Amino acid sequence: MSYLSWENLVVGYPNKCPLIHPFSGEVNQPGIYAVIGQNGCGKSTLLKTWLGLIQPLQGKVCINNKPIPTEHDISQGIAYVPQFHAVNRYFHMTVQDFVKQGFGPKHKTTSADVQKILGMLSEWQLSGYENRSFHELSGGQKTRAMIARAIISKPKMLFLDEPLASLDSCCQLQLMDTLYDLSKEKKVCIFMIDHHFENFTSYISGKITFTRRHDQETSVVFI
Amino acid sequence: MPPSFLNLIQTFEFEFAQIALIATVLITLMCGCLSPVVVLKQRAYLGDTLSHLVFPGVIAGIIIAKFSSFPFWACVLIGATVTAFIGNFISEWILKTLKIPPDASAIICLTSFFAIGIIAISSNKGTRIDPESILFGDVLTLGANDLYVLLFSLIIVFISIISLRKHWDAWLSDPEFAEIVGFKVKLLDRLFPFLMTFAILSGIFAVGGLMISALLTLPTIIYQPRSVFSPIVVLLSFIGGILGILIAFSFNWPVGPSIVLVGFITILTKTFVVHLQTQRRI
Repeated sequence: MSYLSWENLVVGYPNKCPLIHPFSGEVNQPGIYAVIGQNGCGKSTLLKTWLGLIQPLQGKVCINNKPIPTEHDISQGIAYVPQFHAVNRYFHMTVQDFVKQGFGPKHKTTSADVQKILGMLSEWQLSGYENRSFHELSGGQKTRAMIARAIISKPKMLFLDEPLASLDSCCQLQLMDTLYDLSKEKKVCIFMIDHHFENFTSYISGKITFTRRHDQETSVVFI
Repeated sequence: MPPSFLNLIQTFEFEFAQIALIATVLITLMCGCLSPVVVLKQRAYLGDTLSHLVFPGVIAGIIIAKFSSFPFWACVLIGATVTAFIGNFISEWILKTLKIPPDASAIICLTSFFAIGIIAISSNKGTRIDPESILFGDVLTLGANDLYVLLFSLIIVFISIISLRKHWDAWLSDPEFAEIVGFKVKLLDRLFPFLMTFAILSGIFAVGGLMISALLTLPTIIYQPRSVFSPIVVLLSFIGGILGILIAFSFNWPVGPSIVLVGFITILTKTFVVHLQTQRRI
């Protein structure tokens, strides 16, 4: 079974220079796939194109052997962890309510779910923060709350945009261990953006690398 | 009972004062329901913009009413609605195409549409309309029919917020994550400007565009809610409205500005208290 496949894919924004040259690929094994490259080379844009949040400039993307759905649903088993700046800084939602969003819109929250959320927060060293505002957390705590929100629904595919950037080395290791366990035990396919993975090469199943000369706007991507 | 208080009570025996009181209650409840979305989505400037965008539409409506058999209110309402939506569309188009900050694109449309309205007035000398009546309104001139319009608007806004509460929360907090897990992000992207335009149009002749823009902003600044529907925000909006109308009738002040002044004084008090607390911590 193919988790994610793409053909002659070009990503970027309309009326702008494409960010990458056409490239194709397929991921049919669970594991951790690293998306690596310099700043501004199009890593986040590629992730959002895979997710269907941005239309490709050229080519097509299939998730679970089907074209990207125009309407997403929690049952599709896809979860996304954007950078923590993506969360509205004026909305002082509690951490518990924030993580609860990971269950999706149709889920009716039970007391068992609340216990599950509290357990998840404890696992990610956020015990006692459940009734605090999300914006009272530090950068690393915010990232951990966002990861808890993404994995609480037990997704089959997980996309993370630079989750290591705001974590200390202890939490980076914890995150990589958790993701490794998810990929091995629950067969989750994980795509993760960062600038480098030197300390975690043993965790990585595959790499998608962007390269670009300093005087060029379009990157070459290879797997 | 002091005579001044008795006079105030007696004022409410008049029909115009009863209508003004009910209209104020309906407007403040509606603004209390919609206020968290407006403030948390950082679209407080939209209220001000819309109040100016409707200006040329109102003028066009008045001119059309003069030369046609359509009812006056229908011409004005349709004119205002059309220019509000055209202005909104142009503002979004400029914003997305030129990638400029949203307030800058709103200001461009706000001033341009107001300018079109002023030119339309000067070109039609027979049309007697005061721009201030659009911006500041007059709740004392409302009739019973206006109350039905306001009640209808309140019901629409209330149902839209309550029935989609989870979706609004997710949309406000992190729209990209919300879209991936199946919250109705695209629906809310379209529904929000519609509700905002609808709320402002319904209250424009009562308290005026600028006042309704202030009423949509003040309650959520006074109390920061943790969900899109907050009974405390609605209650604060309601209390501000009642206090404002009592002050207006006591001192013979206009109603809309009195309500806004109550909200402003509350915000100044809150700012002062927070400032003192911060100083003590230092």
